[in-house]
Amino acid sequence: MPERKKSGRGHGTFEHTSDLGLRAWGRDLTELFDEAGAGLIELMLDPATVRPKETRQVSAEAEEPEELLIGWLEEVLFALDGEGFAPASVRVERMGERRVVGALVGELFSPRRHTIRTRVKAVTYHDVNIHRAQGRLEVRVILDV
Amino acid sequence: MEKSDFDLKQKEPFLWEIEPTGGMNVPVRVYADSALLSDMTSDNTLEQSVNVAHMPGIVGASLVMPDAHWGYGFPIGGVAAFDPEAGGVVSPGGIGFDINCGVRMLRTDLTRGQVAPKVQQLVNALFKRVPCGVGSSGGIRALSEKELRRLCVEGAGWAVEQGFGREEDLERTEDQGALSGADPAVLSERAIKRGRPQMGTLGSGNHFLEVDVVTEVYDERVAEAFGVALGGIVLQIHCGSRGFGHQVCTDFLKVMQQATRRYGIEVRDRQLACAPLGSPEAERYLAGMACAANYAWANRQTILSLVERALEDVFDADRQALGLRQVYDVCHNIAKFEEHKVGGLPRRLCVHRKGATRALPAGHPATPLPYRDVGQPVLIPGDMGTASYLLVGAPGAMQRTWGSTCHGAGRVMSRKGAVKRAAGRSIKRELADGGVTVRYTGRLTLAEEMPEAYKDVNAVVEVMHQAGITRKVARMKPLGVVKG
Repeated sequence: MPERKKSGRGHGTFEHTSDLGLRAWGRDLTELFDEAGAGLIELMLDPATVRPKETRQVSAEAEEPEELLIGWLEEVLFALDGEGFAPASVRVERMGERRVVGALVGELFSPRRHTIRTRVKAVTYHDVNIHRAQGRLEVRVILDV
Repeated sequence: MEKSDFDLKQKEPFLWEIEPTGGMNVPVRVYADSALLSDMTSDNTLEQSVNVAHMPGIVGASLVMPDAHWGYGFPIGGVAAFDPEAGGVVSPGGIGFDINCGVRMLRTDLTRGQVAPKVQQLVNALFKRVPCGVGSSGGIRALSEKELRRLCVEGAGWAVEQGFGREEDLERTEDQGALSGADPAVLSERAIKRGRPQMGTLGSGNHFLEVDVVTEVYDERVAEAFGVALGGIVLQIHCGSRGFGHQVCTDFLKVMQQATRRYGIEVRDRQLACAPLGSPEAERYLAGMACAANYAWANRQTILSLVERALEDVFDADRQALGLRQVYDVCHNIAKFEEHKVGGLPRRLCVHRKGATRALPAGHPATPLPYRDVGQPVLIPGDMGTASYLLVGAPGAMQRTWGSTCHGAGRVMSRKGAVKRAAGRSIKRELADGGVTVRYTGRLTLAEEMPEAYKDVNAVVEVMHQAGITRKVARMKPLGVVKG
């Protein structure tokens, strides 16, 4: 997965014995959520194989930023697993303290067209902590696979 | 990975303890040999067990099984009992996403000689009958919402009623394949949406169907009671509650984050979010968890029937002629109210088993009737190249681990690490060289699940055997594997 550190935002992975770790960083919460969403999509499938034919609105609400982030990632996950919608990209449109609204762009999932990379089954709260380091926000999320 | 730095004291040849310090309510007790313990100290297993020892109302000890490894919230291979009378809690992170992930075993009259020439054909037939892999659906027709709600209450019995398997399978299933207290009214629309199309499907990851030959029998009397003999063929089904269970857990983890704040509970990891037993949040979670547990039993019951049909096709004989009979079905991700002795007195406890199997000795009132005289069968699948074990519950389990034991080999290598290790190799070829025919949907999954990614299952079951918790009955070697 590409890591675009220079621009102050990016995403990557880290190792966990049984599951998979997703890292994301950005200058503010919007960038952090955008990067985490993009990172999750790239782990699940090859976004290059998905045509941006349809836009769906997604939103999440929670009392704390970490829980909001997990709710946001769950939206991306549910689109594929619950609704058969393959996302090519996801973007934050409105970031509030307890609510995030965004747009998921993609098309209906087709096993012939789309290459699934990892079967991500759920987003965990394990040790999730949005923190500031080197002037940017960072987070590590463990995904159940 | 962080190195854990805990003061581990060896109490017995296979038992280590971390004494309670700081906010720990109980000690951590680890069942392991020194090599298995060393695996645990190289990841976060012990740190997670210490976190569990801090939880409110935990009694006895935060227990760690020999196959334990770093999970999220609880370690995988963690057991903890909570007392409702002492502020005990239920925590969805102590059960896991794949609620009632478990194993079912089917015995046959077939022998290695009959099966060996037809392994490829059998594996193909199983692969065709039981949908597996990414987002698999359509094992049977999609369920209506009404049917799904009924299945959530009836569990494996629902599947039997639909013509998948027989009544006699139910008495050889943990809790007769239906946990009480299930209430579909607590389910979200999303859970129902994810549950409807996936009945009768295996899924992906570490789930599998396996054809095994019995290569060793340690206890003739118990093996005979279980219907297993040297050189005989058995089949194993390992899967759980699919996307449905994951959604139930996801929904309630969110509820529990709020509950943890509302009840002023401090947890050392958000994944350990919990609610006091008896609170509305706990009651609702347990009602939803039971729905997912029952979904998983219905799923394994349905798959059992699909497996039996594949066997009938390949060997051109009916199930009586093939001697097909279910040995048992265990769940290894669950929380249950059970009666145990605390300080010599009987207490009703909420026992969380995450990657751990119930193990009841002979004579226990909850030991299934057909096995009351010998003890409950315990099914321990190993990695797909080495071995699996059939064990039986021993009296030590009731005294030491709330009637619990290990659940498998336990991962030792990360998925990414395994894929790296497999680069340039053909795992399929290597398995074939070892006499294992494998069919799979995801090449990456096969690499992730390679035998080296797991601990030594022989060592794991030996620890529990030596500790008097479960005894070895038979050892099986895989001949054919279907992987999601």
